[in-house]
Amino acid sequence: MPEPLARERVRGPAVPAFINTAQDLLSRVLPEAPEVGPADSMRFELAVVEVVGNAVEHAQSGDETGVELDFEIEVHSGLLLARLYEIGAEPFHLPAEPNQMPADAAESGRGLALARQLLSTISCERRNESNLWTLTRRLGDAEI
Amino acid sequence: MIFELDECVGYIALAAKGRLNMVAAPELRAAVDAAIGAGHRRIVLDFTHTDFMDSSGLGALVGCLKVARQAGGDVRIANVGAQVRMVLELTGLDRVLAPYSSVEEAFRDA
Repeated sequence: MPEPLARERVRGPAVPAFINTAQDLLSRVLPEAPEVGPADSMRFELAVVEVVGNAVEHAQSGDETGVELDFEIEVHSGLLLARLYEIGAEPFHLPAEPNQMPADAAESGRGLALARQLLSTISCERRNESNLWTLTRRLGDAEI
Repeated sequence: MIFELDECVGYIALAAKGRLNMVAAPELRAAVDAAIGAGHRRIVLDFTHTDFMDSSGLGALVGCLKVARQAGGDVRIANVGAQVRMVLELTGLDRVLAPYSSVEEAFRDA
């Protein structure tokens, strides 16, 4: 993949406040990228927040302590890419099949289903003691 | 997230300002629980200044709706922007939480 047009990175503990940190970073990077319109920006931001939120919940529900998140965004020509490392987290299995939306009365369980609707690709792989999430959205993809 | 309460005739309006994400979702629940605890039954959430909502915020909204209905009241939403509307539509919850065009419109039929 060629060098990105823009790249930003932030790292911190896996706590809810990290979601605001990641959103602040997106708010700085996306409006500066000439090819990225509001529709792509809005969809990519939501997908990223859902995946970061999933990582925060994952860290808080397990026995592990001191999980750190390392979040990186890259703007490429025609593509947005984000990587999220869950450092020190228990392995996470991302089902191959898209997640289903829960019942209307459910108060949780929609995050990854939403993210998958908004992304062109999503993957989660084990790297050393980390889970590496890679998210992409092709710009101008009207289908999603 | 900042909440501003406005007592109107027949309902209260709660204006939520900022991002309704995992950080703010418990704050929304607490604000609505407090309103119901204070005896209010009809609550309009004014999203004029809510520029972002994720699934945590949506889950909190569903929780608020359930609590209000159990108390014999209702929660309605007004003035939603494009991002909040997108989340409601992608999850199918626009059928359950239909957005109203203004705070005044939300309980006009009640």
